[in-house]
Amino acid sequence: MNQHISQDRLTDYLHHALAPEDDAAVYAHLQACPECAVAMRAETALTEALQRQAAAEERDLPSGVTATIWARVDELSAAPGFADRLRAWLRPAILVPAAAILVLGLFFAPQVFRHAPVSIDAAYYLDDHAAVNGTIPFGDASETIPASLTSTSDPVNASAVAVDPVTMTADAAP
Amino acid sequence: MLLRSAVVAAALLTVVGLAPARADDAARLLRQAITAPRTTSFVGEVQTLEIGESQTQASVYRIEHRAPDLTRRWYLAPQSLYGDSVLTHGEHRYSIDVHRNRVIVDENDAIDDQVAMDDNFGLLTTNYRAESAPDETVAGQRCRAVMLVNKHTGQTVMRIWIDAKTHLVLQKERYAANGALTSQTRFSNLRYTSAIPSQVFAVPTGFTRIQGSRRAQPSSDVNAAVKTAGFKARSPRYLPEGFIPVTGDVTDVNGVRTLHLLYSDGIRTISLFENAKDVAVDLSRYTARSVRFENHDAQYVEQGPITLLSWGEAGLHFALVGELSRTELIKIAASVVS
Repeated sequence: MNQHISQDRLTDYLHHALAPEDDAAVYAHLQACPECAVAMRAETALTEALQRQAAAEERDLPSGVTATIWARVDELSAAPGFADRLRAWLRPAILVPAAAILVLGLFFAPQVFRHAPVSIDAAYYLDDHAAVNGTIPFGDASETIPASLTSTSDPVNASAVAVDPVTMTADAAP
Repeated sequence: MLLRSAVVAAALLTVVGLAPARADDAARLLRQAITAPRTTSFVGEVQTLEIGESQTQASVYRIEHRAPDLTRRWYLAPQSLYGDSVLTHGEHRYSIDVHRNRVIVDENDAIDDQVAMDDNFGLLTTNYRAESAPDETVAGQRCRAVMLVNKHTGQTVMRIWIDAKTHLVLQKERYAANGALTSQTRFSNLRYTSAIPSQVFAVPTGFTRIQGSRRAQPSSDVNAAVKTAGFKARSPRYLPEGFIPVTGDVTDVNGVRTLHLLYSDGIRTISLFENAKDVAVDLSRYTARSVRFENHDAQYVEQGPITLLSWGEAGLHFALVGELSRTELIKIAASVVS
């Protein structure tokens, strides 16, 4: 390295911010170049002056605050470790109900969160209307062509939901 | 003059005296006709015609029925259904689709609901007057013809031809409010026989079985059905004269809880379906048309004389199905939302 060291490079050297090989090269140059050595000492003096100024302006924390911080640090050091906390969570009183909730969740989640269909085939309604006509006099549903024979898609999956017991009988017929 | 008056009076007395007797006779005949398939076995051919305002459907099928509850219908027409058949074993229905190599199995517990049948026959006699018409021959059998006249409107809604011996209905016609024919079912090549082999009613093997609908026996306690629906259901404020709520049922349709309310006057029926998931009706397989009422955009399709009207309202979705005129259905629908 024959050229003088730039100011930025000197600053980096002073703050140990150079790569090892660069750091070695700057050190060697400073040993051989009086001008750069002077510049180095000036930079060092400036840095030290700034550090002294900064230190002079620092204010000590009140002793009570420091004591509180150290007390909290001691407390945390004395708290149970991860293993202790894990053992506490795995005790049967917590583990068994948690496992049950997990199993039930896995079982019912697909039913609860499955997406509702965007629409229901009109054929279902027409077929269902025809089906309930079976008890209407001369409303024979068999005369209607089942929609399942005319449809190319799979039939709608429909299952009855239980309704409370009948409260009206034939005697109370309209 | 005196003689003429006496003749008129005698004629009136005869008519007045005979009319109730003939009406009772016709009503009894109707009752016998309803139960005839449970005791009468037969084979034959049936032609059906379903005439709508813009579309008509026709079908021809060969029918084999062994009392009380085994029936097979083999479709001869339309061409798209040729070879397909529908087997009914009591409350089970097997739709055999030879073109897609599948059998769709439906269950309908309502089929054997004798209480509902009795209730509905009572409803029919409340709203309709049975009038005898001249005998005719249908499918080679002497038939007694009965007209069902709506007591509120005076219109003949149905005319049926009942075999005088077996009481089987061999021909049936339905009429619109203006008197136009809307459907006709007629037997031909009829033969009464119970010697029908069991194999005829066997569900064929080698087809993919697909589960269709499982319909429970609907409840005649409509309020109980409404409560079971789990949402605040709506019902029409207007119904044509004579119509009352008859049954209600709740079904999970592809996971959507659906309330089905049936209204009837004993012959004609209207179904109101509703769900609270705002799941619309897929009309893509039909020729759907738009209509607007009470600031609602609705769509409707016609299948012969049956119209399906579909619309949404405040998170609910409705489908109204019935063989009434479109104008009448829209009037009912408007009373649901207003």
